[in-house]
Amino acid sequence: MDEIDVFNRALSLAEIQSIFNAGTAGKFKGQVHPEFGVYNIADPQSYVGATFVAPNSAVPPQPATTVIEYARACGFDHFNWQNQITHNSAARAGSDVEPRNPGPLIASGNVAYFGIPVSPQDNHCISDWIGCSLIAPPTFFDPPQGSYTYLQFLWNPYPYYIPSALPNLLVPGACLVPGGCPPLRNVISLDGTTLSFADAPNLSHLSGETPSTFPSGAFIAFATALVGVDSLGNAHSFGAAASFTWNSTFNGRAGGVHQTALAHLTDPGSGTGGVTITGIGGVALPPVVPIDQVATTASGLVYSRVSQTFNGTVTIRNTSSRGISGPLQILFFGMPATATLMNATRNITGTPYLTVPVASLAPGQSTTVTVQFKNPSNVAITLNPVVYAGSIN
Amino acid sequence: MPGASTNMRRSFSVLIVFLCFAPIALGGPITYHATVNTSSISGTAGSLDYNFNPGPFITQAATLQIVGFSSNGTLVGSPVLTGDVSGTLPATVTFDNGTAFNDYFGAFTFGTVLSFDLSFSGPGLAAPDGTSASGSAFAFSMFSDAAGTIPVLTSDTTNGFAFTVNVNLDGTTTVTNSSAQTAVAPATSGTPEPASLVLMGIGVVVGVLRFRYLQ
Repeated sequence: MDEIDVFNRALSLAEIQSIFNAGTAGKFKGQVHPEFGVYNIADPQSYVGATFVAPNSAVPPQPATTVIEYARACGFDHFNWQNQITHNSAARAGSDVEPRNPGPLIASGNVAYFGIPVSPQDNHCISDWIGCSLIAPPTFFDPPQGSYTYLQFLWNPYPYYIPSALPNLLVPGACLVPGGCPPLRNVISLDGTTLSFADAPNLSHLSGETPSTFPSGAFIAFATALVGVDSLGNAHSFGAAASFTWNSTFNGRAGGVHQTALAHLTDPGSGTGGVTITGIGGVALPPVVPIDQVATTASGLVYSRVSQTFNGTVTIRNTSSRGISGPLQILFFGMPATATLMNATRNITGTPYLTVPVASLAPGQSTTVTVQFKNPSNVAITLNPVVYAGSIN
Repeated sequence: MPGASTNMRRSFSVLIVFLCFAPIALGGPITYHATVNTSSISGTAGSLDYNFNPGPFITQAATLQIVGFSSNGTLVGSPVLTGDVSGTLPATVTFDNGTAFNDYFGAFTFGTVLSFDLSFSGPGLAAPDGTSASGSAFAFSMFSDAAGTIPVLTSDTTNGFAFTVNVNLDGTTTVTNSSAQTAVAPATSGTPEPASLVLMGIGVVVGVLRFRYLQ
């Protein structure tokens, strides 16, 4: 007998069931890292998203394992995504802009957010336009299972996030966007085999400070991780291998790191900003080449019965007036779980990339690489290529 | 007014020259005629494969038709159609690029020759949107086995393509031929398209007017 715990309250039936289901696996196996599975980041320039696919689900005809089943097999109650702010370049000493720079958010009071609808009255909000005090929120696990649907307030009390741009999920009255906004998403697929996350944060929601006072190039850095959640709602990290980092620029009167129009503009008069993935699975990425400096195009993909692959080419062209130093890395975000880039230089937890070994790319110059995909399920391959300049270690 | 007459004649001449060089089939299909000398594998029980697919990024719609299939070989059994494909050879087979894999595969006993036309059309060719990032691509392959695993009549031993046609982002097409036994060439238009007829009609009218003016 091990893992003896004394509780100062009665456990719920669900908690008892969870412990029973864990069986010999034990109540908590935080020290055992489950296989991370396929991990996709979709469309990083308008919102950030990721999908965790339970092992054995990606390649039919192996029997599917649901996310919940896999979590229970690992000794957890379920999985979830954890978002933390790691840097806010707009914050200044003495400023009311939260979170302060640098450092993650500090827990205060409420700790259990997994699968539990969080009351908007809790002290989670940072100083924003609905009059919340400057109480630092707890570590921000966002969004909870089932997503947030705060219809009571004019503004989402979680100011880092505006709903992602998925028109089929519009929620009337959820925000100021005409027609309503979709809820923040943290959803399990209908067949239970994937756990997805999508978000479109916007810096202008961070405080009442006017965006025009933000310094040029301001951004907020985030770390998002897949975590295992035990029966008591405590999160257990799998380390950097199960995480990715990203920057969000605000919607920009003063510029930004990566200028791309957001689908939902909180300030239509300015309206730029976006998301740049800066690291995946503990692997730091070199600087991104802004999309207004490089054009990435591809041929169609013809299928070979001999190699049983879809084959084509990808071309990147320097559309700027200055040279771009190499080597260049083309990351293919949004790779379907059942498809594989066979000639990838490397695959970082589900996101493949190709290295283009050029010393530099002169203005107007193009370079072309071949791509070869395995796609046994013949699913649509619609990738979002992002070019980075520099080496990946 | 001799000067005015000269100017009028010059204007008519410029107009006629313009009409002669105007795109006479803007929006019309791009057609290739393919002929394969299969005499070296005549009698082989093999197979044929055609596929037409989008790229990995946003792709504009396009359509392909295989028309005029002709051969002294024999089409065997029922073909396997995958994705957005309809029709059965030797009748017209129509593809679009709406799914990732649009494929026509069928068993075929080779004769000494086979030929067909490929007709590409649709917005991706007629009206490139300038925002799509992927083209589409077609591939034709021949195999010496019914299962489609042993490519023949091609130097492309890696993928087995006899030839491919890329639909580029600007609406043009590019042929890559890896088969010494295959000839692929733009097909000459046998029947003027409606747009061509309109332009030809305008040309006739202008010609008649100019003739009357000179009279």
